[in-house]
Amino acid sequence: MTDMKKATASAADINKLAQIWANLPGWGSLAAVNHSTIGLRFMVTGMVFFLIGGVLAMLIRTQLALPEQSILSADVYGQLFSMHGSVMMFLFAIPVLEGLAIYLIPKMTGSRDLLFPRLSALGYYCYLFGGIIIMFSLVLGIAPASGWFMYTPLSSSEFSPGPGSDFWLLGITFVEISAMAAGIELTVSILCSRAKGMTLSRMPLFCWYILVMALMIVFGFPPLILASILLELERAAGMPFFTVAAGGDPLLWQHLFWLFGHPEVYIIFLPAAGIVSTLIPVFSGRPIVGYRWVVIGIILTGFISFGLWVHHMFTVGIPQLAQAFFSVASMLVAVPTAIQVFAWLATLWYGKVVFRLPMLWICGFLLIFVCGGLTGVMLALVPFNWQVHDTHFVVAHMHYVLVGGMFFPLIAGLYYWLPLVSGRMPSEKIGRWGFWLTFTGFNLTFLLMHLTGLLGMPRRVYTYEAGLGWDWLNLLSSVGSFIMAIGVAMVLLDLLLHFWFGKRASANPWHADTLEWALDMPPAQYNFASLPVVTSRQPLWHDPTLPQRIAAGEGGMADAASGRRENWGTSAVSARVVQTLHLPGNSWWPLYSALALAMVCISLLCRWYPLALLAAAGALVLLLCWSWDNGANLQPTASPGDAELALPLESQSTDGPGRWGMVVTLLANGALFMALLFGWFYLWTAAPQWSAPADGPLPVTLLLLCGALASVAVWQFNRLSVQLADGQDSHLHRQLWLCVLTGSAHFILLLSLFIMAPLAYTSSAHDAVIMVILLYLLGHAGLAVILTMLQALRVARGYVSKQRPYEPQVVKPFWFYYLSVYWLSIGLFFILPLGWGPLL
Amino acid sequence: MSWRRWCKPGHPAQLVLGLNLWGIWFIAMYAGLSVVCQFVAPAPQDGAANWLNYALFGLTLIVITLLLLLAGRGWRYCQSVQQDSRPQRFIAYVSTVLYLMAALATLAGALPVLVLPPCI
Repeated sequence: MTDMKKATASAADINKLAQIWANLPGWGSLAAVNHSTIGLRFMVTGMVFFLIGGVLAMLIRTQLALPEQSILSADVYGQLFSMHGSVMMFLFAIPVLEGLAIYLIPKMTGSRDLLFPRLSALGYYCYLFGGIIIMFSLVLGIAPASGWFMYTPLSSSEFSPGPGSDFWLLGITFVEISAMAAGIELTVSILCSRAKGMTLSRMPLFCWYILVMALMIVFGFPPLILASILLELERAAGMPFFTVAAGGDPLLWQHLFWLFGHPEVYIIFLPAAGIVSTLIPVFSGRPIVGYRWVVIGIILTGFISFGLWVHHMFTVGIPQLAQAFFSVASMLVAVPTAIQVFAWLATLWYGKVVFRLPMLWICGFLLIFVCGGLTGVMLALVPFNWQVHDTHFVVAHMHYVLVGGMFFPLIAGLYYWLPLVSGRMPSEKIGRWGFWLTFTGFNLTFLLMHLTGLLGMPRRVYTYEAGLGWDWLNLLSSVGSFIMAIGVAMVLLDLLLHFWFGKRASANPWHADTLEWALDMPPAQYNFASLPVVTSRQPLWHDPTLPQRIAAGEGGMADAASGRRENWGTSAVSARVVQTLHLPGNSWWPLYSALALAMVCISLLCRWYPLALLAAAGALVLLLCWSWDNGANLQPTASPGDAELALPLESQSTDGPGRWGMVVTLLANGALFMALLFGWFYLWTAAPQWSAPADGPLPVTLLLLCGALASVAVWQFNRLSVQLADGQDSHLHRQLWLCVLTGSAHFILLLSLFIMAPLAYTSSAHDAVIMVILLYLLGHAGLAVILTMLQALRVARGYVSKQRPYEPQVVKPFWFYYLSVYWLSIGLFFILPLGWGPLL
Repeated sequence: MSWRRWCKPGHPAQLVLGLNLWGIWFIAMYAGLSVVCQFVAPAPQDGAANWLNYALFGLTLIVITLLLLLAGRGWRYCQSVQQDSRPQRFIAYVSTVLYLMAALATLAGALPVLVLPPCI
């Protein structure tokens, strides 16, 4: 295979590339899917939500500035602190970092776009609409008031009868679609479309951080999605998962929430640490010390952070030994963080540090985050944790970790990459004022808040009596918060003004080493005029002429001959070029699908269930149409004579990003299933009033028969996909319809069992869980049949054949996944209780 | 993709295998402890010296041994691959350290078993 085309990018090639990758004009920009556009939209929207969350914080601090104030009522205060936390965590921190990653990853990895650009667009619209729905509750004065963690039973219908909790549960779940989309998309894009030669060991550290963050989203968010669904089912349909009297347990919510909630802290921290690991080497003028150790630290953080969740629950009554496990794990997570901190310090020590504006924010980060980390270790100690539980000490710790660990690096990153976005430099003077005001204000607010907490002031109280020793601390904290607000306002002003008044940036203004600085400023929609080849960890330091050579068309895919959005597909470890990818272009499907999903969300909020059902069906149809539209095309691909013609298209191969995307999606799905399994066993063993019928709710023989049908369907599908991969498609169409037939028989039998099952799902947590698992299985069985049916139709139209064997290979993992969860469910939900029942 | 390839020291699956073992151990410890305490809790007067703690620590030793063996295998592979630029060597090195870290995390997590009674 020829490595690269030796051609010069002519003006015609550049124009053609620009045309192919351009967004539609006017309202058509709503159909844009390009990662630069979507990433920037995420970030701008995130900053708007940040301003709203900031205003809420100011109102909270105004109320608490003096004792016995009544500026806000208890109810309004409850809404404000709940919304402040929710907005900052779900609508600002995660989306803005996702936006940054969506914007930067292709540019850093030498690609033209992310691999599922329409998924990015869907994610953005779900985020936007979900955010608007949640904010609407605040405008109406019916916002959730149970805290950002929505503990049951406070958030249950008995104690929160209004729609506030529903807004949170439905809105946040809607927003989480966006996070999941980004998690899947970033994982696959980083693994499958890096520049040629960018092996895992040469990958920029930022990409390592984002890869681990994305995988943490994939595994971390499903428990919260499940918890939100269960609580909404309890509130709307009376299914008592968290009600003790019916065999539920409110502590299940805490477990599921913190199974998500603690990794969430690291989901926020890791991208920010990625910014730090990118900027410190640049401003130290040398490669990072201990690249491999930083990678080790990132992976360790990703794993260990999933083993800490119970430290949020030390006071709920857990055996000492279990508390000790989680206490040790909570202290252990400091080790990988320390590895990274020492690598940063060593890099600064050995380098010649230039204290430009971004570096100032990095220094602020180091100081604040290390302090936050130390109070984190204090909180990992059980007796200390008991002492300060639910006090302002925890609030102070959390802000030191999150503001220090996320906000400071984010601003450093925004300043650093600003010239790339706008082609202009920010004002050092305004920026420095902004930094010092923010830094001073932050420490005045939250350093003192540690003391307020140690003196016993509880969180979430809307006012307090005078003379308890908290007065002056609260006043100074409030003064500090306003100083910080002025600082943040100056930063935002600087960011805004620089678009008009900033000096023109020179090429690679920070003398950085990563590929994004090889681009024009601002970059073209297609990023690279020709795709780069990488031979070191610091491509621009190693080869300063690389930007010119890329622009001159000396890389790959310079001529855009196919007229489609093309990119290289590369192998995950060694970044060998293995296929040509045709990426989807502008599309209205994401917007229409998100609108339909928003309609589902609003209908559920208003309890218009028939409309919700109709909208859900509409959303499904839209998503299926989208999948049809996204599949292989029948057009010839590239002009003759191209070196890349030797590469197969994704549709002509049996493996590719679509298949990887399916597998990663199923990993997320599996995490949701495991969370449900956890809930089942938790209620079974820990719920005080759990009761289960002596004989199972469904006849086991029929369940086994049903499973046999599913097994046959999977066998049929597997056989046809293997034959197709071997180049045989003689009976493909008939085989697919046979598989549809068997799958449908399985679905109908399962549906009949479900309808006939005598489930008292409103009075028994046991039956409610059985109902959920049956619905889960039915949904998957139905989808598997529909996807197979679509494949049969696509075979008839010629989209799938032995020349294009790819799509069934994408559907196959779904069938295997379904079969696995089916048998696991039958074993663990229906058969195991029969044998174990007498023990209870 | 064959499972044999996944088991080779230079395969990227090794990057997560050690910590997955740690995760499974962690779940087994926490879940095992919770279930046993619910149904057949050892007598509180036995303190830390009881069959449940012995079983949990035994499981810990098995997991640590396995992790150390895998770390040793990875280290030997690192020594045998000389070219510094090979991505497989990078993976083997990182996964070797991760196996060691997972072993340390397992040991650290199990130390309370030696001193604390299980179900109080």
